[in-house]
Amino acid sequence: MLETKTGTGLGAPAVDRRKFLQGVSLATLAGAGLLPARRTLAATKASWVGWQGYDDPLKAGTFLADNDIELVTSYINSNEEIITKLQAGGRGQIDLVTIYYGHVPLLVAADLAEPIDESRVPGIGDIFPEFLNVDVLRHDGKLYAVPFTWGTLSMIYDPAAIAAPTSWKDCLKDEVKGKVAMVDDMTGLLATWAPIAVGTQTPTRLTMDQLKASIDYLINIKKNHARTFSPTYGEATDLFARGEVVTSAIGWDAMVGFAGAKGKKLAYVIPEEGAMVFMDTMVIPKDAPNLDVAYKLIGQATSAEGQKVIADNLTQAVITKAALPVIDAKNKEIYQYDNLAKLFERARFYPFWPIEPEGDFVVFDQVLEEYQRFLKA
Amino acid sequence: METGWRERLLFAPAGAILAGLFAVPLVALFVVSFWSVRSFALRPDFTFASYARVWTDYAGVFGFTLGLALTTAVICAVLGFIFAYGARFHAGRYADGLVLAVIVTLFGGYLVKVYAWKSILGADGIFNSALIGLGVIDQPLPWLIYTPGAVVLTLVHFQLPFSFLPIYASLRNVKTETIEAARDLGASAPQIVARIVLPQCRAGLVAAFAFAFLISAGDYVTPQFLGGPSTTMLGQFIAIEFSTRFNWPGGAAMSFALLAACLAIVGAVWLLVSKRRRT
Amino acid sequence: MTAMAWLWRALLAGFLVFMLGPILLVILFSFSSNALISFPIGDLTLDWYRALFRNVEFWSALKNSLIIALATGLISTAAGTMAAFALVKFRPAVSGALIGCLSLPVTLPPLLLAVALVVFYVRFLDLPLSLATVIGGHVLIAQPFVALIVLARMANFDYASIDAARDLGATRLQAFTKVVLPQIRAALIGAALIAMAISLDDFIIAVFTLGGGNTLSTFIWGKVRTTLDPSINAIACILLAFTISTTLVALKLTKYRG
Repeated sequence: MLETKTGTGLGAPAVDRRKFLQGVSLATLAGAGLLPARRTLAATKASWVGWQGYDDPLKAGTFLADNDIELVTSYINSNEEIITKLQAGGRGQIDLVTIYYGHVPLLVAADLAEPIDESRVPGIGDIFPEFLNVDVLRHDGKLYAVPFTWGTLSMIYDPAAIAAPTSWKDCLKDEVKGKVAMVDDMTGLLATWAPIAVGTQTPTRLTMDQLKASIDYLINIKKNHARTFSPTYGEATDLFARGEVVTSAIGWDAMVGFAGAKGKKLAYVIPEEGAMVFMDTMVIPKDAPNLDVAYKLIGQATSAEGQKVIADNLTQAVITKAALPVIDAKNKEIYQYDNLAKLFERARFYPFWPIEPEGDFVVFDQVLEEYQRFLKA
Repeated sequence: METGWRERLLFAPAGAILAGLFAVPLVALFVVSFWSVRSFALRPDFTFASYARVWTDYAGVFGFTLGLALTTAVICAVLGFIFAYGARFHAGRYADGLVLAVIVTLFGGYLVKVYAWKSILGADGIFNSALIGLGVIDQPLPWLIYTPGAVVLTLVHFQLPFSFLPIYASLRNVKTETIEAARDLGASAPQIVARIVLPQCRAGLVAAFAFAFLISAGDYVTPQFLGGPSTTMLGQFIAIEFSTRFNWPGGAAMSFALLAACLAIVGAVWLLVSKRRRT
Repeated sequence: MTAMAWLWRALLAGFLVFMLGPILLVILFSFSSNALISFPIGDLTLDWYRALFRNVEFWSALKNSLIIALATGLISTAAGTMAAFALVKFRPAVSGALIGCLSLPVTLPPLLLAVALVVFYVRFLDLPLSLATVIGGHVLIAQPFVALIVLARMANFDYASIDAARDLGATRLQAFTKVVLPQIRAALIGAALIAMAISLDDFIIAVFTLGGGNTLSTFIWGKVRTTLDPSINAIACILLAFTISTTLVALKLTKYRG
């Protein structure tokens, strides 16, 4: 057993035994010409999968260099791509993913997620409890996802073109016919419109009849009121900026920030019927090759420095009060962190769709199937 | 020329790649189309359920997709012929440059071209801005984009080089002397085209049609960005089956149903075109 | 000139505008100072390019694209050329059928190809996705082009030179390296470059079969989600520059005559 040597009060860093062994073996191999000479000794390759931009907090400052991490990122264009990637040979290769909170139960059910050891996430205590304590992130008492950013699927409109709407149904008015934005977000659309279509309080618990009625309602919006059916919220923002749409049947408060970057002023409102709150979270896939590094990445992403990047670069909302002192007023104006209670008066988290049969309620697969009918219309 | 073991060996690498990465995966996919899915896991099975589902649930989308692809392919074949004919016989010394320009447009990425068309057809795009600027209209025309027509236009633009080139290649075998001789003998232009030119570029025409048809039938990106709320093509649903729904058998069945339909149509066109040989 | 001739000129000019117009727009917008990909353009600027070059992800995507393209070029040229040599010797009916088979991957919707490959790799081979898995798909669609180009070259080849070499005592291998290769070298390089251009341009196969990281095409796809600004055009222009230059060189080398 090799003794580790520590510097004696000179500030020299302790030489970790593992690193030392690694260093020696690498040096030998390098000497034997079996390694490219340029490789940083002991840099760990961490594999990350998620939305473009969500890796920016990890690259902030000197975090990666300080921890000898080489980040290998893979960008997705839909949350489902993450699940596909994990199933298609990603397990055992990917260290961290950022995924929509609604998909966490799917990952757990497909045995693709690693339970989170909360003690290994520094700063977890600073995360707004309204987000950390959401049921959907847990299974069997264990936490499977760490909140990363959030937003509300509120109604976006062009204040230069129309007056502030008060109800979601305002987008069905004749004067905005054909100028309504609509995005392909199944859970978002149903969570917003099922309560209006069938009067339910919990849009993710519908009977088959209620589901069909909601889908019919949505089909009407798509065919008769929407300008087009956008694949992403970014696309929808583009439509606002080009003047193709002036209001929306579903929106995301971050669009206000996106549009600002394109020189277009947009505003959002949470209508009287309410809106859905969502989170994007970080999940450690099962059999992640570098568990330590994964936890370090989570720590960086939820740190003040990392979250500031989310606020500045992505104009999205921060998830931890540790970041509040360092983000700018523009962000705070959009997201009103000091009054989260007021936000939750009208905006809600909903449980995810049932995966296994639950009484009369339709399961996730049935919702997907019915949604196909909507897509085809 | 003897064809012995050496020739077979030479063909072997390409053949192995073809067999290993194309034939076998396709057969595997075909097998998978008869499997079933339970709790996000594939289970070997033997059921026609996935194919039945294509018929019951997706017949409308299927028909629409084939119709749109057919429209695109016909336009490409016709336009490809007109422009190839023009380039071959009426472009003089610019012919080579023209062909070069066409080859250049083969590349440049697919996504960005889709986006370029958005900038041309959109409310703030070139067409509308020009028409408004000229005072012809005062509101942008909403129907230029987010319609099936916009999808056809974009697909035609993307496919036209693929259609132009094979027709041009077969037209090069048509000698100008033959045409001049026919003209001297009193044949009119339409007669020349119908009797002399068209029969010789039969293969090119079918190739042009087939390429445009097959690529358009499987497209799923263009309708998402330019098609509007009701233009959905089968490719989008195939992609969904493979990503959101973990339903590989479903996606596989849709893919093969599409392939079968496409081959049937291309085969029919080939027969149609070959029949004329007897007149 | 006759009216007909003018009509043809106008028609062909219109054709060129239709084909090249959108591409020129793509290039133009990459220099736009408007964050929206639209008019007005404002001042011309290189800012999007500068931002791109500062972005580590861009370089990583570029590296991957080049690695895949180079590998595709090498493998498909080797396989395609050998196939062409074999095809030259077979009976026309047989070689026609074989060329048809080789070209099948190109004629199918790329989505089908990509999906078949993913299912095969993941479910049947249990192979993790990576750059190599993309290369496989790209070689499939590139090798028919290589074979056709070399085949066309061999159609005009002077076989007497091989006979002469053999008569002088050269082995088959020597005849190949010293007589055949120098004569078809240009065509080979041209074919390799076309294969690389095809690989660089592909998007659907890469999206489905790439493991980690991005290629230039999938990088654009990822950016379309939120950014949607002229940086996409900048990447596209760089891609265009690569593919067009390799194609132009290839055409010159293969002395393309249609």
